[in-house]
Amino acid sequence: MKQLFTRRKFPYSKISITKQGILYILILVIIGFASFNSGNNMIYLIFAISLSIFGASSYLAVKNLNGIDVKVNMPKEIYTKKDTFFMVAISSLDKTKKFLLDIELLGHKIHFDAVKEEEKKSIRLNFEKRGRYEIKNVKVSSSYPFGFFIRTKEKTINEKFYVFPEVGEIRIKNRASSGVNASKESNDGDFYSIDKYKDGSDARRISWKISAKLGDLHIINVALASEGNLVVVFNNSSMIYSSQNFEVAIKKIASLVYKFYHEGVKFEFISPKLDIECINYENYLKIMKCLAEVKLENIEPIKVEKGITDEDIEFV
Amino acid sequence: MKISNLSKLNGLNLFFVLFSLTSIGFVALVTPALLSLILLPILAIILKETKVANSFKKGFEVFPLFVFLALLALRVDLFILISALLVSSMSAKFVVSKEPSDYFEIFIVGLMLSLLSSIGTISFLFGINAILFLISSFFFLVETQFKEKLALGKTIPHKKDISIFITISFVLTLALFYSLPRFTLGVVHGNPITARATTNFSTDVSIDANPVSLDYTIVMRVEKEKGDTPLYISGLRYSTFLNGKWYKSEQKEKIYPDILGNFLDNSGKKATIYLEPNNTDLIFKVDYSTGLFGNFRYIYRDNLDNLYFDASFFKTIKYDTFFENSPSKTFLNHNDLLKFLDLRGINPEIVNLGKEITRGKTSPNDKINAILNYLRNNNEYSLTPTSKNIDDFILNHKSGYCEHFATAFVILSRTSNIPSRLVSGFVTTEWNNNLKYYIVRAKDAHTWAEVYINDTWVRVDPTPPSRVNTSKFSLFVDTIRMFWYRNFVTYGSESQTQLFEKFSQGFTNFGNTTFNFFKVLQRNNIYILLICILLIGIFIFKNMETKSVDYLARKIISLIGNDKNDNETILEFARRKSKESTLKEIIELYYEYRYAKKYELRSEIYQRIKKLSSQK
Repeated sequence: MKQLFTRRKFPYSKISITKQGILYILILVIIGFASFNSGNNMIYLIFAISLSIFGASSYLAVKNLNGIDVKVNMPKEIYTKKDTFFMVAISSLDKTKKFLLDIELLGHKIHFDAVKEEEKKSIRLNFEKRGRYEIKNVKVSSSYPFGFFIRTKEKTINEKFYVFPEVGEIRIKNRASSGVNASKESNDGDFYSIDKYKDGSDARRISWKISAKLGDLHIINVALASEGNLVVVFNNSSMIYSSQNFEVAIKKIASLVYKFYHEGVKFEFISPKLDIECINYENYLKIMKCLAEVKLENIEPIKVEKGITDEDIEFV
Repeated sequence: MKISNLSKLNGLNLFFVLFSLTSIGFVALVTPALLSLILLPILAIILKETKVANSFKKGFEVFPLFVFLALLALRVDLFILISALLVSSMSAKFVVSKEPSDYFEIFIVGLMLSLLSSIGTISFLFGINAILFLISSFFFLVETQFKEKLALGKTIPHKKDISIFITISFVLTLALFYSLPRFTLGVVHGNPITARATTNFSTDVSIDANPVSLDYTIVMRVEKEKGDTPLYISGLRYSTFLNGKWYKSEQKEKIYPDILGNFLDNSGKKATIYLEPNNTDLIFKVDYSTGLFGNFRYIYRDNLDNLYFDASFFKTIKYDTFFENSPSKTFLNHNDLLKFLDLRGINPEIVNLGKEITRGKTSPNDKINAILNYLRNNNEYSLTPTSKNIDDFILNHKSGYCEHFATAFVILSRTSNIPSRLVSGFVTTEWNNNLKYYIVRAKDAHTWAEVYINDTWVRVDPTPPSRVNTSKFSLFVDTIRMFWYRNFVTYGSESQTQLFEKFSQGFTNFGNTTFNFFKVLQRNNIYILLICILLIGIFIFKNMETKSVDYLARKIISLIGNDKNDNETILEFARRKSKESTLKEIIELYYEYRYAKKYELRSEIYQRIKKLSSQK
């Protein structure tokens, strides 16, 4: 029974008045005063019309914000301090035109003048911190129809995404670099497996013959004699890092993982929370997500012989 | 032009022209020549499109000042000067405008033009133009909000929304107009700057050979019940006739209203007069008048009981006159009687003729009839009189119109010792059956006589008015005009009180009806109780069906399929049926609604279900 009589909360949308609205109200006050003072019914009529325009605009304003669907599409790879583009798609569920919509997403505004069925616009974003982000709501506001008021409504979208650590140009110190060159994939090794081509895959490994046969782009993974030798070790132990050093370490490891993956180097990633062999794009994303949300913990550090750690990496 | 081409038009330009046209339309109602100002907004559009504005922005900003100074130098009428200034600033502003706030200033100028015209017109066309102004303002304001330059087809709202907006605005306008507090009786004297007299009522009654023409201009409308006889509306009474001319009294006293706003004695029947400006300060009254009610601080009265307004007026004004069907007794002393027997300057031949006509008649009525018969038998009615003066009319039996007949009658009555006076005013028989009122036109101006018999002033009309038929179209137009005057122009505190009383009466009636209805219910309470229980049961069942949270869940499940296992969630069910990708979003929204208790999501989920169902 509780739900039977539950009514939606009021006000359903927030309203704020614009400078134009304030000016219009002042003018209405003056016209109102003129009509009361003069008793001239023609001025009364103009006053009534001006007021009714003001009042009836609410109908259009409320209707304009109803039946709107907002979708945000983001790329799979988002790196800290690197520009990225989110695609905002706005559609009218009730199939009527929507006007003058402003979408506020992560503090940035995108303006749509008119939306008939669906309109898309991209927004450039730059994240300062790595981590797991969640956009629960976007604010949809509109000054339609006359710009006297701005009505704002929140739309639930519940989008989650990861901002990977910042990556930069790195160099592996001599101690570890000897094994790296041996682990680089080449097109000369033994056939290992076929994968679908994905964003970030090495384009040089596309097999045009197989792709033509199967329809989609496919890449060939080749097995090397030295495969399995390369291990990237990442610790998040507070015993070895201060919070400042930790961020630098993450940046180095992320840069290494980025470099290895994009150069086609196979490696094993070992950390207290994830132990994975990076042989495809999914593995790469898993590692980067792990690095995006990793925090310092009071645990014993992992030690792997011949494993590459942040100490073996330096920025160019 | 095809409709598809129309949708490619630049909406801003189009609606600016329409908005300007309706704004200029207001001032053109006062001075029609101002309609030519529409050329300025059209020129502004051309200049805006040619991008001249970017180079000469400052020039456009001072353009209104230039227009103002130029017109000032030309010494044009003040109203035209202000109108031209506003329209030129509106046009110049449009050329340089880029932001919605700039265009908003144009809208404000349009409002100012409408206010400016309100001092100069009360035409019903003002009301029609006001509706057009409302519609054009809507489109213009909407169009100015867009940041990009879009084609008309993209910016125009849905037809249904437009019609609902206009309907709401229209109803709201009427509701506000009638409910906004009034502190006056809706009578505005108008402004001499825009003075436009509908017609001239001449208070100068001279007997000469000047012809008169039939002028069909309406000079007043009188609301009263329809009578069988012509309606006499008196304006001015005269007692002194000298050198071929009637003189009105110059002695006036101020009359103040009583606490209720009534002047003199407000007994008798009421007639409401809507009087057009006529360049006089005369108060016209339905005969036999007793009193007056109107929004006047005071009125003037002369020694012949003629009434005058406190100030000149330049618009249609409304007031009530009270009247009796028969004249009331008026006691005149000897000196007063002598005034109405005055024969100074009258040709002795006429005096002898008057005595001759009434010779042998003893009663005043017989004498009056004898004089009337004499005039009707010997004189011809004509709007192009041949009589050069009253002697010519009476003695030489030349033709004349009402003034000749009435003057001759008064003089001949006085020669027979019957006190008499001349009355000028209007007489009409033209009845508008649509809104139930008398129409009085300039051609209905009339002069008649009054004789003092048995202590009363009795009307005697030696020249009954000729009847002229008017066209049905003119009657139709006047019906609209009268509707406008009655319900808008003269709507005041009194009308508002009456309106609220009607509402209050309506509520009382509704209350009584409801009370009686409940009485009936009380008598049949068992049946009513059963029906109520049944209805409540149906209502609860329906609500439980549609409002319950399970209703939405059932709807979502029906979109997935009909073989859901009891132990799986909706999402799992969707996954099993390979519909997770399409329905995940709506299911998550449902979870938010159901478990996070975000009940405001209900309508959105429902809309999405509807959309998906239609796609299915």
